[in-house]
Amino acid sequence: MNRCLATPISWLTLERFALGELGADAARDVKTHLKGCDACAVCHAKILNEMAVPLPPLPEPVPVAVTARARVIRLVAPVAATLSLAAAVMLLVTKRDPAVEAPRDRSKGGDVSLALVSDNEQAEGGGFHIGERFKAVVTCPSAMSDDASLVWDLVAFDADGSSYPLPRAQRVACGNRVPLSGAMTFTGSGPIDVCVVLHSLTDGLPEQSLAIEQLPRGSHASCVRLARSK
Amino acid sequence: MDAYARYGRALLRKAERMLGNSDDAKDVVQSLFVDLVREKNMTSDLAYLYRATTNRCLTLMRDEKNRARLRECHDESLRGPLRTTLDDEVLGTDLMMKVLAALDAEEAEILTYRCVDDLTQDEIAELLNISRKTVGKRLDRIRDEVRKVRGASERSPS
Repeated sequence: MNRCLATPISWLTLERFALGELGADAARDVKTHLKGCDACAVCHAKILNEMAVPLPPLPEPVPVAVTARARVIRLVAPVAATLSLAAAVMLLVTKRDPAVEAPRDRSKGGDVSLALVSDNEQAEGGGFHIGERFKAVVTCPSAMSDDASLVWDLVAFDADGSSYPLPRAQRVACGNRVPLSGAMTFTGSGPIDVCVVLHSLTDGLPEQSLAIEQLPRGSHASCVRLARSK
Repeated sequence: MDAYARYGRALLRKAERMLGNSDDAKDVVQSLFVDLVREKNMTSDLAYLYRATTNRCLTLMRDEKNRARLRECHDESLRGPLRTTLDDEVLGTDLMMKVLAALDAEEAEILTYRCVDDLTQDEIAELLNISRKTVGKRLDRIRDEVRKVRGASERSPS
């Protein structure tokens, strides 16, 4: 393919041209240039070809119920005996000795589990290096997808408190090893507990997380503990 | 979100050109819009979103481990045809990553707009709200850095 012999039409201008956002004069100049320039025409064709490709879905926005920023926060209330399980299922991490646990994929209750998948195939299970990137994958019964008010959060607990390393309030089409959107890295020298939490939007979305010790020990739990690799 | 539907694909292409990796590009663009929604920022200005995407990609690329990973799983085809030169030389992705690490934030942005997005100096000046003269001066400094990095690479090929 020939190189552009004049000044290339920038990608930003080509995008605006394809979207019909350029003024008449500028659009005419671009059109003229594209007729005589293979390199720029290839870029323009790429834009047009990809217009029909659907965008990956964006996690839906959800209202934040609590505004106070604190170490300890409200999670969805424990499931009341009279409510259905789907009203509010909480998945949590319990602190256990990682040496006796399956390190990266541990489920309790049998119906939901969380696993962290490293981009480093050589990585040892149960450990993380600074900068090592993880995706979270969830296994959950498909019936959980039926309730539109249920969304997923991933919470990381370390010595400094809790944080949400992935986009919050994700909707997941339940199944085997369904990836949550986004990826995360971990820092710090101590162990990190990661849990996936299912919220009911009818109760609002907590801004922060409970201290891990305060999580209710429910019948549905999935746990991952990572230690800093040496 | 309307802006995501309208501009998401353009921003995804932009992030793919910078990162050479579709998964990372998707993460960058999605996290941008998730944050915008959370901040109730309903902007529909492509220039603003373009800059925000650029800066998020640069932040990702500043991390040495991320750079190593991006090099390993780099898909050169995502960058598209290389159309803009710096001193008659097209900057390959590897050299660009090395140069970016040596530049300040504004210079890194300018290099990206010039060599990845093919913006003219006038377009860069408008996007960054600075004078074209300033863009020219920054590009001179970037050229010096390119020469230094290229020289160092030639002395110690790896």
